[in-house]
Amino acid sequence: MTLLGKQRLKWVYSIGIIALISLFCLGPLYWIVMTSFKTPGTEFRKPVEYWPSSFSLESYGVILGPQFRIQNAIKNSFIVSSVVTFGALLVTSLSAYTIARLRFKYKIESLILIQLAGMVPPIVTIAPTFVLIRSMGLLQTLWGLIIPNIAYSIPIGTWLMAAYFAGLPTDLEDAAKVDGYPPFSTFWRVILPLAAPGLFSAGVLAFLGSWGEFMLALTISLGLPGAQTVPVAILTFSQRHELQWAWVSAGIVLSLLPVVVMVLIFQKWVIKGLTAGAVKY
Amino acid sequence: MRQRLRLREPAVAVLFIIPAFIGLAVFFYYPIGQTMIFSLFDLDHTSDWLNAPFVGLGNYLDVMKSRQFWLSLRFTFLFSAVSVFLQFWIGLGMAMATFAVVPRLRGVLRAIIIIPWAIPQIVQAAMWKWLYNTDVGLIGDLLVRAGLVGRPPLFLADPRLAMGAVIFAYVWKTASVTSIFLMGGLAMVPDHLIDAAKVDGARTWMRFWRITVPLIMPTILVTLLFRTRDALRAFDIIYGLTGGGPGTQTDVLSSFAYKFYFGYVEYGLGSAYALITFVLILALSLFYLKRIQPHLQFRS
Amino acid sequence: MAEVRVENLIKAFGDVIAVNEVSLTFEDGDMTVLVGPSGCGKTTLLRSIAGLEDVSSGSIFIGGQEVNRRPTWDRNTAMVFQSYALYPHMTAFNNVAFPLRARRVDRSGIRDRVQRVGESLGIGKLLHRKPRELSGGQMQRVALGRAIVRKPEVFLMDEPLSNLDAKLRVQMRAELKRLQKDLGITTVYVTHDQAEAMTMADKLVVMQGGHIQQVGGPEEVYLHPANMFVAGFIGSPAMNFIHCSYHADELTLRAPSFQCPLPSRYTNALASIARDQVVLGIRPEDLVVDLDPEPGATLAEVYVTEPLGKETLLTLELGATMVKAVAPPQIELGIGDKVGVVFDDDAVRLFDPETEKALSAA
Repeated sequence: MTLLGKQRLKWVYSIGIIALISLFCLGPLYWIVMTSFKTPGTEFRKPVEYWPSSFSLESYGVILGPQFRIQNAIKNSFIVSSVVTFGALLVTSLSAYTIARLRFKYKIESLILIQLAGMVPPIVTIAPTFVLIRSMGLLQTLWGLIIPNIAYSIPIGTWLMAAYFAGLPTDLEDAAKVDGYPPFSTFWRVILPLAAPGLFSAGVLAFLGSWGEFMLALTISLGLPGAQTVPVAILTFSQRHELQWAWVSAGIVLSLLPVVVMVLIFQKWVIKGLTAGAVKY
Repeated sequence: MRQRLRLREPAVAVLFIIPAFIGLAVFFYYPIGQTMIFSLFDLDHTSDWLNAPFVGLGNYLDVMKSRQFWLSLRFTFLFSAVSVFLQFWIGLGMAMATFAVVPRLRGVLRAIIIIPWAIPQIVQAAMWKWLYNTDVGLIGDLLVRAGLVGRPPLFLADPRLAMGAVIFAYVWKTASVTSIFLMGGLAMVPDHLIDAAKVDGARTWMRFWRITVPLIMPTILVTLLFRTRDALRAFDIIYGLTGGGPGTQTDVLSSFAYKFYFGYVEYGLGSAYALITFVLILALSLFYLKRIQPHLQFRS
Repeated sequence: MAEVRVENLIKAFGDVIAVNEVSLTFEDGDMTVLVGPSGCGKTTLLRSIAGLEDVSSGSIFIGGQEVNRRPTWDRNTAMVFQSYALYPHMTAFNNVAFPLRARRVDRSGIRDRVQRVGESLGIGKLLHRKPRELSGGQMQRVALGRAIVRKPEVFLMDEPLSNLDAKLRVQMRAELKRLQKDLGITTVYVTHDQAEAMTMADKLVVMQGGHIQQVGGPEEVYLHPANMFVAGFIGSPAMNFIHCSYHADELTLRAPSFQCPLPSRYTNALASIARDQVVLGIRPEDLVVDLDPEPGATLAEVYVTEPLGKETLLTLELGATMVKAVAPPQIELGIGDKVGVVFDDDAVRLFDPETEKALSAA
């Protein structure tokens, strides 16, 4: 077989592999998207329709409309996740720098404490956290979600940033020290700009993590519409309107769009962030 | 450089790490401690343990006596074992696929693989509810068309099927993450070793088992640890898809405990459950880590 | 043992043609060295023979059989890599045994052969160790052991000595050459180090930009380089090149502040080229430095001296050109000193300045 022939064959089976994997990964999504375009009430037609026989954007209208206003939930989620990301980056980069670079007597102990926290199942902390938030009067508020989520991002974020800092060459810090910069300036002006990729990864993970966080969001919202994030909104929505699958599907699609788009754009950093944790062992 | 308060390095180090410590203390360690305290009291519809009757280990005993606890424990293990097994092999397959395709399509494939991970678990739950719908759900319909069953099965109503349904839905998302972890490991296998194996006369299968797998073993072990831990504390998918049902057949420890907290509002019992879950995960993690320690050391 | 033949081989990576229509025969039992600068295509050619690269067009024959379509594991070749490519998770023993296991040799057979090979290479006692517990030289031997244990038809070596420190490298060169002669296996050896190439080769293949520049024995390539590239690449310090104008009436070559009579053997060649510009090439060791020059002799000014112990390297300003010359170690010269320069007539080589090809000596 000529080289060209061999190459063509490779393309053919590459496309085959991609088709197979797409079936698995994207198949379910296709179904939901299709359902969202069906005229409400036609979802239960048989034989099962893989393409809407009656195409309609009505469902989108409904969930964006006065009854459900999914935009609110999306807005809430965006606010929460953005603030959390900002806060998380600040806290984790600082603590990671201490662990990775600065002279600190309790590095190993700190790492253990942080890792241990990462092992804790949310169910263990949920009740006291709920009581705490309640006593601070932050139930049903966005801040009640933001603050804990920043804390939740600490284990993964610190680990990631520490691994990243450790991988940076020490020359620049040495040069800065020789030039007379105090540690904080070194951190702010020299290290942080260099750590941009790491920050990106940690940031994206923090954003997505807080976006998808459910247990606390559910608990804080008390099942009522005020200050709901997207996951909670979708759940309550789907539970209350069990049979309105077109509506629910539209809701799902809209709630997915922001994150899926985000992930696709920031793919590279997501992958780097996820693998830095596992692979650095 | 302005003349500010010139802090020396050790002081800066402490200053930098304090916010993280505070965060951990308030939202991890304090709650753990508080939960431990809750578990020692009878807290029916109240969280005020200072005025509640002290029951010592009574809650734990109640838990141990409860049949549903053991059922949910059993299912948690089943759920974790099966889902980790499935997500590993599917994830490995997908990871290897990214290396098998033409380089130009690699990015496309990675994007496709990563999409299930991006979707919040609970949204997935709603999604799968529709997919598993008995009348017109996609899954049921496909099975009928493939001739495997006569009528679409009652995924979520039949206890045994519900277990499988929940596991599969969980695997759908987690195979994605596992795949990404494994991709990282595979990328670290140096090309020249594979070249050497080819020249030495090893065919594809032999190269995979004797060269690739041993070289990514550290990654595999760490990945399995993380995935198992996550599976043991799974909550969202169960809560959203079946609510632990039918009945409590698909309850895992987390979802079951949650019901105690916010369903029955029994803080004491709920805490006991939660802590048992925690101890379980901790013990398994440490045991696992100890056993795989020797395998984690090698750098070529 | 087998002869390896390559016919009209082309290998392109997208727009870059790494190997450009190369045809070559690697004689049975010979050590043929592919030498050239980075990117010249030598490694690509080697990998193509191994099967690690698919050729764009052309054929490869091993032992008379065409092997293009055969996958790597089915060509009876063995390869030693620059990085040794030892499997880090296996002991040295298992590394050497790997090719035998791939061919399903039985256990006791494996044990015997690996042990024998290990001993012949002086690493018999180290076989239980893992690569990270071995020194560079020891790892090299394990890599060699892995290559020879199954008696392949062809040895392929990709800069195997480049990762060793200088002293070890020189020592291993001799050992490798001896090993190859003892085993008599056809070997294709790739290196960018011209000294290594010269010492190892039965036949030398100089490559540049995907093309073969010259094929021949080391002496032949050294003394009669086919073009300026080969002349400048082979031999260290490199050959000096002086651009001259040719004065047919006087049969001399002239350059600023320098003039020398045309060696008679080139008269015919020069007559046939149209221009009157040539490049004169002379190796530093063929430039004789005269501390007490006669009047009328060619003069040069010392730019820098580099004492090397066994000789002294001089960089001289000869008119507009810098040339290097080799002088005896005791010579006492300083920057700025004027010395006489005498060209060994027989050693002069002329090149066409446009094609860079060597002019033929009658």
